Amino acid sequence: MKDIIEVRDLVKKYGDAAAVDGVSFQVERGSIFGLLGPNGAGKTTTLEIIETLKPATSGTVLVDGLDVRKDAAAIRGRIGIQLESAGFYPYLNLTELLEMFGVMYGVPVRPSELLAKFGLEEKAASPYAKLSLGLKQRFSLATTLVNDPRLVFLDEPTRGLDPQARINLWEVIRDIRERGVTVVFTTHYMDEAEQLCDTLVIMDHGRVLAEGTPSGLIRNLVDRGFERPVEVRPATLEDVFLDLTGRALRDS
Amino acid sequence: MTASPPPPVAASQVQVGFGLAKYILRATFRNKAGYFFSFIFPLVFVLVFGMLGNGRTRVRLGVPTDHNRTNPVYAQVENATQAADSPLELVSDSRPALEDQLRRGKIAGILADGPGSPATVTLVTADRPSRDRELVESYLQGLVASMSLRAAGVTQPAFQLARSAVPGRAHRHIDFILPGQIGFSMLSLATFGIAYNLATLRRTLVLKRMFATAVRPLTFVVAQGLSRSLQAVIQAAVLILVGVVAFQFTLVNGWVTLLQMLGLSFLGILSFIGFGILMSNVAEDEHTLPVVLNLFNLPQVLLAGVFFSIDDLPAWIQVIGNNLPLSYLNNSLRKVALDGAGLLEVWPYLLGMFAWAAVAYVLAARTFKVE
Repeated sequence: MKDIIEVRDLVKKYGDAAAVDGVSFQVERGSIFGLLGPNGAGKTTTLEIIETLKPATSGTVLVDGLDVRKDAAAIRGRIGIQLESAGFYPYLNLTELLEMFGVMYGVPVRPSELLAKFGLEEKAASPYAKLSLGLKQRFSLATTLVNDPRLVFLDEPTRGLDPQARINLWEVIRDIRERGVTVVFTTHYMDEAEQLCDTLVIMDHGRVLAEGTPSGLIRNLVDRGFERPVEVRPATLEDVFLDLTGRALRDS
Repeated sequence: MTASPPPPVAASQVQVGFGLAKYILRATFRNKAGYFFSFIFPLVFVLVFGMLGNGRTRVRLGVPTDHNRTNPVYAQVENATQAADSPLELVSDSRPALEDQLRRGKIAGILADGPGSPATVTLVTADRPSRDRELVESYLQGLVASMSLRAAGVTQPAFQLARSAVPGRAHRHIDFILPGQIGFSMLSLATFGIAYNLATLRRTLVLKRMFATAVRPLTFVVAQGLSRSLQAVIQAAVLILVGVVAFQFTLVNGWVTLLQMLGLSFLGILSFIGFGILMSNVAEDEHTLPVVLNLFNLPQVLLAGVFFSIDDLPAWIQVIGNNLPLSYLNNSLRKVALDGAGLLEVWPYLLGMFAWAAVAYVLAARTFKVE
């Protein structure tokens, strides 16, 4: 089975309004897959249906060969989820939170090992609320690996991060893929999608507008005669910023 | 990835429940603010009412400073009110000052000279009926009557009131207040504690994230219930301990009574938790939650025998007061603590608690929401 996710003709309606309106795509096993689109495009709804958190109105979704309608419990055991802006149980430290997730998934967990993988070993005894935004996002990613999943979903994992933390998180995401875990993520940053995605889908108004590799999609556009209005510069403002402030992760 | 890892074994929900309860309990004990409503409040009430109940209040009777000192009635009254168990306490002041105090209800009466014979006294009281006035009147009447008999040389009156007593125990205010405060503590913990916690977990999407794992909502609710109940029983134990140590709260059968009270507290909070969950479901958000919670809690705090007895209420309100969720707990606690009833003997109250709990849990399950 080459594809770990297969979505066919997916529809999700709220009353008469279709949040997702006939979406189809596949995600190749072991890849980083991007789901792009403006706010309200239907990205999060599509993700939540694949994650078994919402029922579809119609269509088929297979995750690792399992049907989301029939095998929700089994699918939940095989996937890791990061929800956009979700918090964690209050008054517990990072170690305890990971242990608690282990209990919830019914799997043994070695918190110190997992925290070390994400460079959080020094924060093991800190409560989640005391972490910086960048570390919060990194911890949030760590929790998606508690059940040793085959597939993780990350909903806007770099939202609100400074350039250093963002670049650091890209490394973490690539590292997750290196372990053989498929990564599905959403973002509003096109440079990020270009850097990270093996393949991506661009959605709007509940429909898929384009699908392919970043370079393939760019080539298509250029082939249609598109020209960038300004000359491509040898450096960007982000390059300036990182040159001045360094790439090291900030911790406050 | 070369080989797929085996799919994780579906964990037994019982194991998950107990595991979760452990972490929820840990988080609960670290949340200092959480103790406020459910523990500090009742504890303060126990302390305040315990201290209030320890000093017996005497009825105050005014004696003008310029009274006729040859009148033997004054001497007799003065003598009698010196006894430790006297229901009267004398207040000495000028006549106008005493009359002012009488008008303001600070004293029950004034013992004045005359009219006529130097051996006569007048009891001046306010012209409205009051229990204190009745007490002063009958006390003085009895005193004067026995003086008259003695003066007439009657040693064997034709009619006499003989007295005898059965062994009883002193009912102090703390004996009434403490069971009510334990009930109040259980109710606050189940409603304010649980409902706020759930509302926060929903707003921060913690619940959504939890239910994206193998945890079922029912398992989470049971885990919450378990850890909260344990917290509740510990709180009840501390309240009883304070009552016993500081105010000699009556535990009729000692340890057995203590364990019975803790058992009832456990059943009580279990029966209330359904309401806490229900109210967090019903409230729009954390801002409307206090309104919903107080609508539920306040009538019970007033009518279910927390601060004063349900028996003091008008009959038709008693019907309500005796059948609220909290009154079943309070009444059963008092039966066990003061009358020495066994847990089986208070079955009608347990049935009442169970009935309310069933309604609450069914409604809570139907309205439960993750986000």
